[in-house]
Amino acid sequence: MSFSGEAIIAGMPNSGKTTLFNNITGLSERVGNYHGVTVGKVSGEARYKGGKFVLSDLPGTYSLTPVTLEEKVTVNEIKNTRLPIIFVMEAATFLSAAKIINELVRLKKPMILAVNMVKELTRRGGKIDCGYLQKKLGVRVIAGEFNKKKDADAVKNAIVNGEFSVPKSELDGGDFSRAFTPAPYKKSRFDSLTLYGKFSVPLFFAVCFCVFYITFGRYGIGKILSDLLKNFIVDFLGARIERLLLSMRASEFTLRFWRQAVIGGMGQVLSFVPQIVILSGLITALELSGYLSRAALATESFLYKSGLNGRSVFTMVAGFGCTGLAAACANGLENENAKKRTLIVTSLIPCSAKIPVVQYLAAQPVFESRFLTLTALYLCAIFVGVIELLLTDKFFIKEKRPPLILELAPYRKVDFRTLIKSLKKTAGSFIIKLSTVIFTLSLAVFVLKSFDFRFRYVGDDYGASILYRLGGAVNFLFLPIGAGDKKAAVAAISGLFAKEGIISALIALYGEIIPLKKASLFAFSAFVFLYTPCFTATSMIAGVTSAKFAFKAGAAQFFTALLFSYGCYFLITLPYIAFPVFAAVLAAIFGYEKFYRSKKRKT
Amino acid sequence: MLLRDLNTGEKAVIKKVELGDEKAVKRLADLGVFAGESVVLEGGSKRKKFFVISAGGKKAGVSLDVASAIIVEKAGRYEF
Repeated sequence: MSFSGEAIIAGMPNSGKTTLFNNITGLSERVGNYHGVTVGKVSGEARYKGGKFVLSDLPGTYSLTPVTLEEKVTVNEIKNTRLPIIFVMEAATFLSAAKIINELVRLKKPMILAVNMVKELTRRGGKIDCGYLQKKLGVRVIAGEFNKKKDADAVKNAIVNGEFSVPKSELDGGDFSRAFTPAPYKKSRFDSLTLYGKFSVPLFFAVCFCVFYITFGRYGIGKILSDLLKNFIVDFLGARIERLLLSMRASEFTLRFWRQAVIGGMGQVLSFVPQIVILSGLITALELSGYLSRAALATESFLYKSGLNGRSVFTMVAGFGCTGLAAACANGLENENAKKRTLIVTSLIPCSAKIPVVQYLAAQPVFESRFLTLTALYLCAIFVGVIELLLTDKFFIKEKRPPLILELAPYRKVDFRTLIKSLKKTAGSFIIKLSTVIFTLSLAVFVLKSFDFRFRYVGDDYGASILYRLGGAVNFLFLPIGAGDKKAAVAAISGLFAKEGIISALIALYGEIIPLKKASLFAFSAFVFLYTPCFTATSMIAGVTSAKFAFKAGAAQFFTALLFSYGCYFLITLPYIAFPVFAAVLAAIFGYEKFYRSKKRKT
Repeated sequence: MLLRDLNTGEKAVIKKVELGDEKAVKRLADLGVFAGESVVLEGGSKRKKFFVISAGGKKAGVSLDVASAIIVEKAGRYEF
């Protein structure tokens, strides 16, 4: 009789459960070469040889005594379910998996044992006797490579034929040695280069640079595809629809709405998609190959004090492209605090939308050297980043960094089918998420720019708009840096919606040349460089952490940037007084930090 | 002696894991690092701030603070 109910897939982390699940159901759940990739129960339907069944994939667990939240999900499900279990184990980790198998025997759960990556164990000199295990346990044992369709079909066939049975006896020490010969420990040739070698850290930065350049570089494939898509949307599609609207004698309001809210907002987002897909594809490939966990360890020597690790660096690299995208990347970080620390630093990294703004400001004639101004701004960002990380421990994340323990799975060839499936899913979810958020925000900016407080359409009279009035309300914040003419404040508010908005607001209000003094303009540029990311990025940060954290971090960054811009203005205009004061403040911060740390060490 | 004081390629038996963080102790146990189990130090150093150990068929990377909390007894060398 064919099986037509529901079954669950369980097993140890990194044993290939999700790969098997995807191959059986045809879905494309995210897989990774480290634990914690599957964080909740995922179900999918499958059909095979006339049979139909539902399969659920559970997060990995090392035992039936859970530690993490996702392990609790799995253990509760296993203990309380009456559904049959497909227990997936990696052949090389039989000795660890045997503990859970024995626990399942004691629970008398009907099961099938799926032994994955047998070839790899054999290649490394180990051996597993699946026939013996089948005989001893009294359950169906299927061995194979579950990323291969043929082997996944063998499991499918066993499910459809209802080959589940309650195991009859536990495995003991004698069985371990009879059924399993472990592969001898072997140092990977790649590890000598990527983990222990002198060049492991430079190699990591080279990898980061390549990932960044391929995605965002001038001649990188990501930038080229994005530009092509942008041209298609704006110049081809946008212009044709605009011509159509004109031929239909659409009102000025409709045309403006089309140009600013639809093409300006949605068009921008859609043009990011190739970069998003390429960046996430490269990072997924690094994850799947096993390099990412090595990178996290290799960078430990210089990141250990900051509470960050190598995976954080990938998020930071993504931050050079788009802070929102980086926030999505941070989702892969193993720990909530690591995620928060990383996002605090990433918010300070100038995204690709902020870079033209800063270049525009640095190119103002009041500055003698554009290069020196940009260098000074980057140094400011590094300085503020260090100070923020020090203060983060004190005010945001009081819990200290958890000990770093990583399972280092062997290097594996990247399975392109899995990679493509994962990319399709990433692209789809980004288009849906970003389009909805960006479209709402574009609409909001359009309304704020085009209407006054009585909701009358103001057209080109920017000065009467809600946005300009709002700028007036926060104008006082920029008085101390000598930029209290409302315009700087309006530009800063526009930047909260989208960083590109700063340039258009500055040009609309000041014209091509900003008539501010050098000290005021530098202080304002430093503020723009360092203040809160746009609302889209903030909402993405809220999505991966919490709304409370995103708000607190955003507000803290805004005021830090403001205070820092005051400091810059003070340093430039009154250097003889400002430098000693500045040195004293720094000494106080670092002195307190040292005292605080030594106190923590004593306790 | 502590795990961090082992040299690359040395085999040791774990005597005690003295970490305050229970979750970390459990995670180590899951990776085959618990009292009574033998481990091989594959690489890493104090200067690099990380160590890589092989135990129970698995390979684990741990930071210096973890390696400083694992008490071991040397049990010879392992030829990779």
